Amino acid sequence: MKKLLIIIPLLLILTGCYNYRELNELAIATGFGIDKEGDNYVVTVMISNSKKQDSNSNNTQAAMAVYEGSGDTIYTAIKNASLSISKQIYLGHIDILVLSESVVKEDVSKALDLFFRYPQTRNDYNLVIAKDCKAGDVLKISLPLDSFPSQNIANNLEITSKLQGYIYEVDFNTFMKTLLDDGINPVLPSITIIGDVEEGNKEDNLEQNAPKTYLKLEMMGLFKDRNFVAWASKKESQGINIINNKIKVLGVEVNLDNQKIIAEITSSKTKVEIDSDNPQKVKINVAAEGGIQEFDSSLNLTDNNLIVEIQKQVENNLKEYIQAALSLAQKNKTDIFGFGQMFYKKNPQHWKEIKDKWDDELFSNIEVEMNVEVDLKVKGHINNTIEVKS
Amino acid sequence: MNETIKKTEFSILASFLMRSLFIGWTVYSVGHIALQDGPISMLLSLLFSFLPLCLYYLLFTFDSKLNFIALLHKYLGKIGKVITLVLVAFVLLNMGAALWNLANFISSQFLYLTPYLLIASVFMICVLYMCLKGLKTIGRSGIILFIINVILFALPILSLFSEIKIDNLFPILENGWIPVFKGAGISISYNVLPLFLLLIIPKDNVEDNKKLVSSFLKVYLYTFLTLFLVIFFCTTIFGIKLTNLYQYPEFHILKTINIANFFQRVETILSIQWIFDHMMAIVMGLFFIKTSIIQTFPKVQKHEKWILVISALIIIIISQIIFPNNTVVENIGMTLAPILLLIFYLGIPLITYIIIQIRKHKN
Repeated sequence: MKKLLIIIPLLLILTGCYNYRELNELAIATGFGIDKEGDNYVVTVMISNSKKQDSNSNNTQAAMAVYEGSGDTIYTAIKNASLSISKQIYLGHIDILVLSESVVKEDVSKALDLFFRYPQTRNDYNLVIAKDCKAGDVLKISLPLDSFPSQNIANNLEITSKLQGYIYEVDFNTFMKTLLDDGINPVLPSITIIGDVEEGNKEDNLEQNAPKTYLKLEMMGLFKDRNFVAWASKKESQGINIINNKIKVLGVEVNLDNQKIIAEITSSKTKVEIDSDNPQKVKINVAAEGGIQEFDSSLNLTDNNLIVEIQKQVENNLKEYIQAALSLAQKNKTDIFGFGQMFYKKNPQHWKEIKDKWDDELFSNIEVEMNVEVDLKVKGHINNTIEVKS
Repeated sequence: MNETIKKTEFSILASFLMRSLFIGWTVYSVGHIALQDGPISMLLSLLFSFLPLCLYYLLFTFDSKLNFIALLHKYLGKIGKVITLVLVAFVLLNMGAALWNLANFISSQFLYLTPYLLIASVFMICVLYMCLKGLKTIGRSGIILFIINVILFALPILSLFSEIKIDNLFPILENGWIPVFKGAGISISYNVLPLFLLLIIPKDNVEDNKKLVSSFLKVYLYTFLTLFLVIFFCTTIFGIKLTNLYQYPEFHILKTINIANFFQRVETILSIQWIFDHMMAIVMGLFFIKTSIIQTFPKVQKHEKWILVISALIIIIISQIIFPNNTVVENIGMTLAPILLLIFYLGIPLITYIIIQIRKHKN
């Protein structure tokens, strides 16, 4: 009897049902945008519509719903957004966090503090800056290939960073680590809206073969300490990727006798060496491999001298990209490559002395020695140029 | 004390005691004091930990029929009884802190809307049940939970190794050896000194105890390896600044696990191992308290169950009032707590051993 008296209350306590949430009671956020209007934050939460996933659901329903809220803190803004949602917002499945230029220009860590503390968030999502548009608008664009814009951006970021070589994915933890560490400043990829936001927000946009409004990934944005300072051009972005050893695939256009040749780098390794006594002497060694991807020329591709000539041109182009990236970073006095951090790891005592003047004085006048070696091993399926019979 | 335990079960209980104050306390304190040299601190602590281990071994083998409390009573008489009560009070405090850590970990990382008291009570029910069943059940449960722990620890290793950036360990010894030694000292306090609680089991009550040392050392080294790897992974994957910013970086490290886009979002399951560690350590603490009280006041032996229930309630109450907030824990964790552990779990046994030796030689 005594045992029963203990077991029965235990059965009630240990069912695991205390404080439970059914899936249909949760508003699962897959995308999150932060804008700033005056002193107020405006948050945009993209909620996955669970009803749409149900086979019996009305097909006219949108796969997602976007809600906005504003407040002087992110927390208040989320709470205000949730006033219009009949479910509890759940932040554990965020794919992408879009930050507007107005947010990143003023101490970005203030906007990200809540995401660090909040127990629901997982910090494995990517960050992206909305360029020339509102972060909230980015999440409103309906696109045919993916159900949610957040998924579209996350997939696009992944594919583009693998296949294009001018942007790379930056997840929350990596961004925060770069923000916290000495001697290095963060970069973030950006995204913009092509077309009209209102049109993109309509279901019609999904039904078009050529959507009138779509999202396009843009180049990298540079930070100095906690603030955004500049946009990189395509060439500069490629240079940033090369120096930061993020290149997976990179197409390089070469002009030889006014004829265009595309070489594709498929493997690239960058090694940066810094003098342990003189932090202003940096050596960048790049070893890349690839092949010829497109050959719009009448030159003889079976001639090895021509291959060597193309390799040299590719090497020169890569040096140009690196130089462009360095010039941009030095102009904005922000060490986005982590040269300072490398020096700190080699000579921490000396670093303590120069730490405060690194970005503004020393980094801007750094001497860089570049050594780029490119090896074009393959020419694709064919050996030579396509000769048209005369 | 008539209950016996197998040598493997005894060794495995050591593993739980060593890991119980690791998350939250050791990771936080070693990370803040030794910075990126935390892994070196852990290696040093392994080296120096053999000193307290030797002391515990000497006390354990001094009289194979007597546990530490019986030794205290035999050689120190009434003073020994007073010391026992002081030790019981400290173990209650220690277990209160462990329960707080367990409940705080659960409530801050995943059950953040569940009341603290409910989490603490549910775990104390399991702890109490195990203690009521006796040492044999504690030992057997330990073996089952240890096997689960080993699997849960081994699963993410491969995925985590691919994330390591050795560069994050540099510069080595940036602030010299002193912080590294301090970190090692803290690690010994939190991870080695709680082994004192095992002295409540007399040597003769461990079955097949001839090979006990080798069995114990195997588990001890394995456990130290797990502790080292956790600090190593946190430092090399997150870097020291991000590690120190997180309250439980070892939990956030588990969030990065992704094997073939299939084995992911498993941090909650994998972190169960830390919950088991706390639970078993509290079980041992409660067992120590019960046995000590019964040996000090033999008349209360018939109320054994009530001693356990009341002690469990006191532990819950202590865990509620001991720390008003996390900030207090962070401050105490690096200063007062390791010193208290040193005084009670190393100082008292050391003084006792010296007195026992002196009295033995006099006789």
